[in-house]
Amino acid sequence: VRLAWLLTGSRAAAEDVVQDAMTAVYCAFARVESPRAYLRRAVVNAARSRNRDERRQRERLTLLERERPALDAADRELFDLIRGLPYRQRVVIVARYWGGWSEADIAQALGCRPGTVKSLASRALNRLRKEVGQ
Amino acid sequence: MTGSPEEFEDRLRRVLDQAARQFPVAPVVWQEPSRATRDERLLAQGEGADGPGLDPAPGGWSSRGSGRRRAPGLGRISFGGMVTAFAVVGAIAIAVGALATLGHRHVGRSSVSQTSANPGSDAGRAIAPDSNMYQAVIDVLVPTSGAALDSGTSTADDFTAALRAKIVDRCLAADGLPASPNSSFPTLVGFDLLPDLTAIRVRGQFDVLVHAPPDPTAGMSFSERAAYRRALTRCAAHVPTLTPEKLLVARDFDRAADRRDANRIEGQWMNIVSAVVDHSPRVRRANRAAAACSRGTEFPAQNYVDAENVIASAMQPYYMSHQDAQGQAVNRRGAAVFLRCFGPAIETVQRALAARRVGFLARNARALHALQQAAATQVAKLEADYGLRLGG
Repeated sequence: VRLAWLLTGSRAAAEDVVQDAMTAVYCAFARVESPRAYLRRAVVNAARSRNRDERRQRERLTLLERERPALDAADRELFDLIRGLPYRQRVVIVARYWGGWSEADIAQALGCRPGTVKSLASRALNRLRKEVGQ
Repeated sequence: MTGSPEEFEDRLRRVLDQAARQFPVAPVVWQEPSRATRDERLLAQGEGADGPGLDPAPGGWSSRGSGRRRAPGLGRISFGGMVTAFAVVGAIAIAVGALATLGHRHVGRSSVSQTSANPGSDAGRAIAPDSNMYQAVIDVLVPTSGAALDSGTSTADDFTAALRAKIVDRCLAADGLPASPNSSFPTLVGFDLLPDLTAIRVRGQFDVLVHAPPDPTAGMSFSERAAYRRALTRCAAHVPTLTPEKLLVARDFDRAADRRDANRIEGQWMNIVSAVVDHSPRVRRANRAAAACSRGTEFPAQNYVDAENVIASAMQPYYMSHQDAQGQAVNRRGAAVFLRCFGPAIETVQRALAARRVGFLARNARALHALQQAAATQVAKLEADYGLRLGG
């Protein structure tokens, strides 16, 4: 749920995303070879779908104001910058630095090549460092 | 304000962790579907005694090259009280983690011919000698081409896949059961900034359609399949948590902190790759020529990264709707245009990177050598721990 929250910025959206993802895992439980990977991918895809919905995008921005975690000013700035990253870059940053996923896991979840995870991470880090003035 | 890349990465971890901790998550319990429920569901899905037992994972990433297919829509389904609670990811991981450890297998440039081999068997599988791990570390962390990256990844991947297969299959064989399935990870064709031109040229395909591995439970009854799954779960529990990435770039693959040197080197090199791709005047000129070349084709694009997306987008609808023949036709046409129009731009990037890598390797020689030694040591340790000899 926390992963979904970090990706969507909204508790309601996160809970919806996880419920949908768990539903998918439940339905496929007897069939899939790797339910954990299935779940990860389902969460990432469902969160992406939420982000794509324009109406919900507006809702997300509103909710973000309400659901901002209590961080000091510099950390909050960084947190907001992470949330402002393009979706795939955000997934890589959250999955790598919060989730501790391997590149292969992130690639599976995003449906891309492992090497693409490298370039997404590199670009996201560059952007974040540039934005925070480092 | 922090200065070094490592400190910045630590700060990212801390900020995300602090933020996530403030998001309360109620403890919940995963309740695995009852046997009866699962039977009902399988029958309802038309997967009775003779149905497929081990489907690919969602989105077909285990059956399609580069995972280009997306996961199916996740519409809400009413359970009518069947699901009593949901679990956090960790609970799921505990419940089913053993199955997940079977992992995935890359089919890289060096293993084009292996796609038809029985993935569950280690017989006849060529394993790179340990010394190749030295080169693999360089290829993975500091690649100058997609082919080099694929080669390095394949070296490590073949080792980890063979290790898994040996451990699991030996355990299954003790119970008189057939070898485990081993799903194919997306076929390696480099990555967006450095596509593997060699692989695309050899295969004549932009992306590779990899068929699902043979199902060892085909022909089994439902109860036999269930027994096989239980055995698989038990056997997979003995497999070490190991990925090619961990094998190659972690001083100790159980300690994330030891990846620092690898992350730093990889990050710095990726910055160079990005800078060359985005800003090199020669590459820009080559991309302009490529764009002109592609203009009259069915895959017009501004540069080669854009071209990859254009071709993938053209293939995707066919693969999504299981029209494989049509998808393959687009795949082949896309490969031809990609090589003819965008190949020179990619080769320009490769040449620029090769020139820059000399100095980069010299500046990081000590750290890279330590990583190479660590990888070789880990290979030797794993072989000793599991009584295997996988190196050449």
